[in-house]
Amino acid sequence: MSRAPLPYNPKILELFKNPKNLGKMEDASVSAVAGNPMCGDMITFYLKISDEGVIEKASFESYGCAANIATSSIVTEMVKGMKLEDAWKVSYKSVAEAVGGLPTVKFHCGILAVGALKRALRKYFEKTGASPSWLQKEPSFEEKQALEEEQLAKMLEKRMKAAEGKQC
Amino acid sequence: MNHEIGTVQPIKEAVEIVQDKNKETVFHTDASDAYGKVPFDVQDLDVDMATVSSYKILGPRGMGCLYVKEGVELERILEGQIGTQRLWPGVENTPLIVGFTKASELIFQDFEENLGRMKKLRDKLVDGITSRVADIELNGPVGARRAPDNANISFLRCEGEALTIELSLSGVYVSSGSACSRRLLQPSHVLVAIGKKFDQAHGSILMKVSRVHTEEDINYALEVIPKAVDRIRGITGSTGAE
Repeated sequence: MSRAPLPYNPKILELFKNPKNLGKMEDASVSAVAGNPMCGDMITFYLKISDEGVIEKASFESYGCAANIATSSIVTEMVKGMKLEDAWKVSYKSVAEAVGGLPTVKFHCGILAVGALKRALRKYFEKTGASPSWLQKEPSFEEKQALEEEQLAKMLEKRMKAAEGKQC
Repeated sequence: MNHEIGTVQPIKEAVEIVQDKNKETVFHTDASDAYGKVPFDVQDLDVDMATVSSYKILGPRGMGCLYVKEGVELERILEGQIGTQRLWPGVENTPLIVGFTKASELIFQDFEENLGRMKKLRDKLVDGITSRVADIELNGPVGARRAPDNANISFLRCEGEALTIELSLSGVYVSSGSACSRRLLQPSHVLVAIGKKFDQAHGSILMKVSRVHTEEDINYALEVIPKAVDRIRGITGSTGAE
């Protein structure tokens, strides 16, 4: 068990204390999830997108740590008012920079937040049937990482269940 | 004694089982968490070695004590200039030894009375949380098999690291078995080993009372904890609820 809180900077603590754009969006155009409760990190991302392809509103819910909450909050602020093409360009690096830096072990939180955003954007285009030229076919780095984290948690869960079976 | 969930292990019986199989086996117990909280006698337990730690009884960090039964020979793991003691090179850290000695004196002053008080405060904390917060689970045993200072509770739909940070902002310092609060990013192996699911481990909080805590401190914690859990659960929202 860790006894010392991680060295979060004041900006992360402020976003953790007062997260922006928190909560389920009832009129969202699209929502997407990254992570799962097994990982101990899970984000739901909601976007309201205008007919002109601009993000009018973004919100999130997070079952995650302080860094997860802070990075999710800042991603919603970053993409609000952006064209979808520009929102797609948001990277985990720019998110880490925007929160004033993350402890090394917390980089994956920023990656997961951007992973949820990119999944939501991809899902939106799947829904509308549009296929803009800038939308890469291959999963982005953040989408791949989110998938990897989810698969790892599932693998650990399976291993745990197998161990339980043996004990019985 | 388990550091996370406070289980008092039947060490004497374990020694008997091991001795029964092989008399040559050297039995070491990490008694760091038991020292000053559960009365024990190394000779009565019949262990070959026992470790106790200074910081666990509010002494200085970086100091501990190893009991070695007469006749048990230890090998050095570090070589160098060997001084008055034989186990490692260098000289003793006298200030830490003095600090540890003083802490030991203090922890055993009014020992029985302090244990009773710690247990009462711990029970007040656990009962208070149970009556104020929904969807929680006490991890580890209840009754005499549990250390008097230990409370370990899983708050469901509430990520543990976020909760430790939230509580620390109000001056309540606890730790979590959540993967996120650990540098290894894996949930507490102890909670997983006793059959807890990952999400139960992620929402677990370890709280310990000490002889310096007062009823006022517990009342304050009971005021702060439900609000903190509510806020973090508010951030969780519908995430993960399928």
